[in-house]
Amino acid sequence: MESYGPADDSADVTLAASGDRRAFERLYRTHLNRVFTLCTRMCGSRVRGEELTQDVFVRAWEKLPQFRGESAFSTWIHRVAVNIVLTDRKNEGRNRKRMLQDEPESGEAPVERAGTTPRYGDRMDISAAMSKLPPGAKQIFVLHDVEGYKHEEIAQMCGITAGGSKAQLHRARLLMREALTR
Amino acid sequence: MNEDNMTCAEADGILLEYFEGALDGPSRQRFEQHASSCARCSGLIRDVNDITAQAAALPVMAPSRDLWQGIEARIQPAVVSIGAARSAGGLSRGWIAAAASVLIVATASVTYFATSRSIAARVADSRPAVSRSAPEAGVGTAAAEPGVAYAEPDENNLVDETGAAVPAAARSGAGARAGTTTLASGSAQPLVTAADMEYGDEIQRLQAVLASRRQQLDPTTVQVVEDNLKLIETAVAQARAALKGDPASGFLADKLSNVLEKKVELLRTVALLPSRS
Repeated sequence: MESYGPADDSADVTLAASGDRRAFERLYRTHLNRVFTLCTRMCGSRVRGEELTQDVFVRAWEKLPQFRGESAFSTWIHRVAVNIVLTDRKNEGRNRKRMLQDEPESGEAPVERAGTTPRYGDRMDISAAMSKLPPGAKQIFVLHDVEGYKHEEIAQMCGITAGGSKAQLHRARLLMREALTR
Repeated sequence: MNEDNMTCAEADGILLEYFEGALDGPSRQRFEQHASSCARCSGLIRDVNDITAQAAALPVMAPSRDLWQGIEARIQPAVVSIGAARSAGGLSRGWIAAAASVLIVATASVTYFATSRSIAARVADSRPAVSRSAPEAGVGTAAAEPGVAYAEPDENNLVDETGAAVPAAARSGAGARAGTTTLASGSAQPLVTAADMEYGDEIQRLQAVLASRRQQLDPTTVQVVEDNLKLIETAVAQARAALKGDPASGFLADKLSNVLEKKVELLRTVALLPSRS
């Protein structure tokens, strides 16, 4: 996965790690949208995506002293976000509560705002099809095809094999195609 | 069809490897040869490539509100790395163990003396609790402050640092666990819960959004939302009433928190609804 954001936010990272909330707020403002996008697309709900985004930044604040700067801060916080979403999915699976079913959360529009009449090729269609994917396939699709993670990285994060990640991705793409051409 | 030709079933079998670029030269050549003459398989490849390209081009999204307030409220004021603390303090494990031992002995001694003195005082002194002066009365060194009554420490009431009685429920920490705060004991002031503090502002903001968007939304939708809000309000009122009777109940505090969370979710959903066409 490629890093993004300012080339050098290491000064703010150092300040934030020593307890500077203002520095951490600057990091939050820089990385908010990317983290929110990842959370929302992986869980399939804007409302839940906002809650998870808050959890990500709270966790990042707690773990920041352990951040060694071996990767870009953007890469690190993205990884934190993925872990938060995956943990949330496990918890949700246990409780069988919230969404993460094959359908989006009841009453909630797909994560991307609807524009005009759905038409194959529109981004809205891609988003709607994505929201209909089963949770596992959706997360692999988002991580690989949307976020650009490699299968080896996904395998490590999700606790599966690279082969499993490839198979899930293939399944997700075929399901997406089926949904879009129906 | 000659022997080198591939069937659609065979092509499907190696489709994953094709997209992953994992096919060797001859296999890839056979696959592409088949796809070039098969409308089904060439369409499949085109569609999947299209989906992949569009997924990669999806835009970055932004949340509907600023999330910083909620984050700031949850983060701790200072984060000090263990490494920094260790180097700054320079204490060895031996010193820490010794200090811990001294602390344990000191705490035990103080507890022993305080307990034995309290028991002795209770046996010796039969005067009513309200007529006694401040904690100093126990050691007989100071006179009572006029107009201030102090309660005797017993199983139901303890005395805090100011000498005022502390109810058993508050002492046990059950109230804190339940996340409730009574502003004034025995008064008619409302119970303020952790859930109120967490969701109160958000609910106010979202209700303002709902009020401002009322005209833009479909009247039937507004009616449904209002009916749902009434149900939620009833549940909130019931939870509050129950919590007032049992402020230490963690179960009731959770119930109230859950209902308020539902209210926030509903209001957020309404805030994001598209305007009627």
